[in-house]
Amino acid sequence: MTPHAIVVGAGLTGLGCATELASRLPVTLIDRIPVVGGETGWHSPDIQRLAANAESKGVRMLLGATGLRWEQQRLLLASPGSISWIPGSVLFYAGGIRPATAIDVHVSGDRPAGVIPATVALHLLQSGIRLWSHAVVVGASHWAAETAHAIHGYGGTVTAVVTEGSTPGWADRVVTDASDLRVTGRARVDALHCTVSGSAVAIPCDAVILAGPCRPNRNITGALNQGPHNVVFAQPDDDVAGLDRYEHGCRTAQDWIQNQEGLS
Amino acid sequence: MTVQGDAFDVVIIGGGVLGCAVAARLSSTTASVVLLEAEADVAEHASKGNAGVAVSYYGAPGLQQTDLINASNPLWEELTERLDVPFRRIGGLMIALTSDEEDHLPATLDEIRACGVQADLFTAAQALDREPLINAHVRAAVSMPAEGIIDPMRLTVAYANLAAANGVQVRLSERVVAMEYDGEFTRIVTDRGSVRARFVVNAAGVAAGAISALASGEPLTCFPRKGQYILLDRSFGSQLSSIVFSTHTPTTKGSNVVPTTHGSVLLGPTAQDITDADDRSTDAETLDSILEKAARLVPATKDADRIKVFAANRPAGDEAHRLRMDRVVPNLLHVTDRSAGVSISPAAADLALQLLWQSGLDAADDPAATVRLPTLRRLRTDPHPETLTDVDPLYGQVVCACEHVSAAEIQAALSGPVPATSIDGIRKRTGAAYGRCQGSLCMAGLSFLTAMATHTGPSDVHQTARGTVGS
Repeated sequence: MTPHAIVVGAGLTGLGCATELASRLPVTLIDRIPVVGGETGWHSPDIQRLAANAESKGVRMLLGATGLRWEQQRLLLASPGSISWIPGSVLFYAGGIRPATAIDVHVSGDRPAGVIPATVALHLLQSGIRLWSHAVVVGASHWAAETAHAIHGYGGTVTAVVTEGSTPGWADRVVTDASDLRVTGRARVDALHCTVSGSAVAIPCDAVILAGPCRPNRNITGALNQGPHNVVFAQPDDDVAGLDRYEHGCRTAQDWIQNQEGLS
Repeated sequence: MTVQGDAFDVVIIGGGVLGCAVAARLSSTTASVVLLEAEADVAEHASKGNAGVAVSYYGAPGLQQTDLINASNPLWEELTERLDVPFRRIGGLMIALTSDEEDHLPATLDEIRACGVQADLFTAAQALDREPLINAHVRAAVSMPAEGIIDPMRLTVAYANLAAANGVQVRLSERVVAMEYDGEFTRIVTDRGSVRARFVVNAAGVAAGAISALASGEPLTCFPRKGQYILLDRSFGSQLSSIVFSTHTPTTKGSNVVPTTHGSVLLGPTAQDITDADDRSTDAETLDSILEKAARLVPATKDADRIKVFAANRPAGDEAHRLRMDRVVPNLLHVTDRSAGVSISPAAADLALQLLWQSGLDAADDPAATVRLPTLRRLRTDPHPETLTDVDPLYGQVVCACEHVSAAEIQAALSGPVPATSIDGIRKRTGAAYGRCQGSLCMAGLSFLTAMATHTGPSDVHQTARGTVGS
């Protein structure tokens, strides 16, 4: 079959990947939401410039389509009103990052309502609704700062709980070097407990926001693990900011191209 | 029998797997039935927090529980097809890793066979051939080919949906606070009103002892036995093809490694007797011990991605099981079981109806009742996904990216006979937010959809049966 790359994720990383690949082979860039930009947002001037550049290099955009299954050089795509296979010889996955889950950051205890991933908290808070009076934000990703900002916007308070590293400047109170995180609450969360320097600390709260560290999304069946030779994971490992993500995407594509040329 | 007003032939207390199974069975008769559940959804507590195994063997020969398992086990293929519930008969391997455990296997094999259950003694080579992921130091194993995996939440909801479709009133968030028997009817007072019924079915799980006491029935010792679980990602689960059990010892049935019908893998449960039925906390020490025991059975579990941990309390008591009429209160039927509720549910429901008939329930099988639920096609597992949008364009709108749950499936969950009214209710019915990102991509969307379906605002939308997203 004719070589044809599919890039999943039209954020900065995916745009970098797709643009770089377009000089060598046909590229289709897909995203599950109907606009480019991913987490950066379609309204960003950088995104608009880079998307226009990608299209001028011949990148075909297929937006509002979710990649489901990768098998035998084809990708199952779902979009409103249509589910179909599209052909591709290589899949670049740039499907964004997410905050670590409760088990990723070793939170035990009860499982009440009010323990919420930061991406979800942000999505809900951005509608301007007062959801929580006193939130504990676990982690120090960019989502942590944005969530704290949104909660401060309506007068709520925020306690930051970080297990290691830097002291965030966005919280009303900071608990550092916390270990043994444990949630309590029967219907809704009422406190986050932890150990700091050997002492037990209880932080009363009405929400626990899980805000990091970042983990790469993996959600296409057949492209979940490192291994298949025609799947390339392009997400940055870390909380890489802004245009560095675009560069990361470009480099991932360049490395792959060089590798292909070495093989041929 | 037609009973007027607030009076019913039968009231079922408890919307877990047994209560809902009995409701489903009674719904295909002419009896008028109401089911009362204290929580805001069916399939809470042990009915959502269990290993999802439809066992072929659980207890000793001669027990009523064993008879009910034997009667239920051959029914699963037909029943789950009819009720649109995921089930696969993948078989189980009980493996021996030490000489002590190996010495125990023949006795266990004899007991399994004495229960009338198929089982075969496997050599180490046969066991490894059946399931290459088990510990290579396996010495011998008992193969139990009739063991199956089932989605216990979908099963319980399906029983409830079938019951409701046939006219059973399923009343949620309604807790029984008092009961009074006048020789013909029992008046059941709840925190929201009252009903009267000729017969009372006590299927209250951990609360069955308290319900028996409220009904002035026989003493029934029930206490919560906490089990903690760890869920592993499908990327590992796709490699595992059998349930792996540790060898039973006289004191414990041990920890298990169980593929789920979602493709993930459950490790656990532990067993810890506690007093507070609402204590569903996990602790780091117990979770570490689960991982250690699982790695002993299936070493690769050590490196598999973990999705979540949870705990649930199953009913425990002095007796394994009580499924009979109360000996003091003549219209009170106990339907309780320790640990095997899912596995006995089809036959237990049949027996419950027999016992009610014997006690004078005046109701006949109703040929007009439906015994089948519509099959809902699922985006993740459908063999012809490209045809789904012809049925409903919403199949093309993927809400949960990890578990590939579409808006069509979520709308069905929010509008069924016993609809989801919380984000967790959607999860139980569809698997949305059940996957590796634990809702970080889809939970906002799920909360909007739930808010719209339940006519509430973003702050008051329920995340779980008990708690809201906002405070």
